[in-house]
Amino acid sequence: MLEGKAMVKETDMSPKMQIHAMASASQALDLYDVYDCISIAAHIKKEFDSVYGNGWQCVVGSNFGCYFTHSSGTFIYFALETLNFLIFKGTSS
Amino acid sequence: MEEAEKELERRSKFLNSLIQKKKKGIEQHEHESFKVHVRACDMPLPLQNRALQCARLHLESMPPGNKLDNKRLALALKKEFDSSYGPAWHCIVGTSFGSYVTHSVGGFLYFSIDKVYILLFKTAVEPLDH
Repeated sequence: MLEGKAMVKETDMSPKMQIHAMASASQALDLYDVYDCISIAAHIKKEFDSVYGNGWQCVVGSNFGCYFTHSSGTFIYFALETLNFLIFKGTSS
Repeated sequence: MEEAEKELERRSKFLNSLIQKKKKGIEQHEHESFKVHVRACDMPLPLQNRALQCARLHLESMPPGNKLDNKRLALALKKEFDSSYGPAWHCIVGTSFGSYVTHSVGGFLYFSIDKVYILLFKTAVEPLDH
């Protein structure tokens, strides 16, 4: 399933959650084309909402910078194949 | 009298050069004005205008030819909105990205300026455990 190796750039997530994030991204890349960043982001966000509670945000792309506020222990930024992934939780609902 | 004529001519040339410089400045400014396109929105108009103005000013302040600093622009927008409209705002800037987010009511704006896409949205703040 994991075609390329994911590289974590920055995170404050637990290792278990990190692995889940990268597995979810890899799964999304199996389901969707690499150009369909929105569907990939939606797939990951929905999974994290259902497993860890609502309020997750996901950004996927090859060129972006960002600034955000996240809950403690809920942030990861990694690269997989040609894309970069940012996942964080901004709120609890 | 001849000296007076020379002085007048010198001043006239100086004024002409000033006018030319100002014209160049105006032309440059016109060239630098960016095309703005709001693509998706759930935000009161005053906040929209604030975001568009902040982004435009930031882009215009960058030296011509410089590569866009996505993170710096994102930081500027987030900080302005956090301080003006309360936390927590999030901002994403780039030329190639997709996202899927949950935002507060009235706190979402997705727009483009020239070739840059900007996503600005708000979420509620998680209360700290005490």
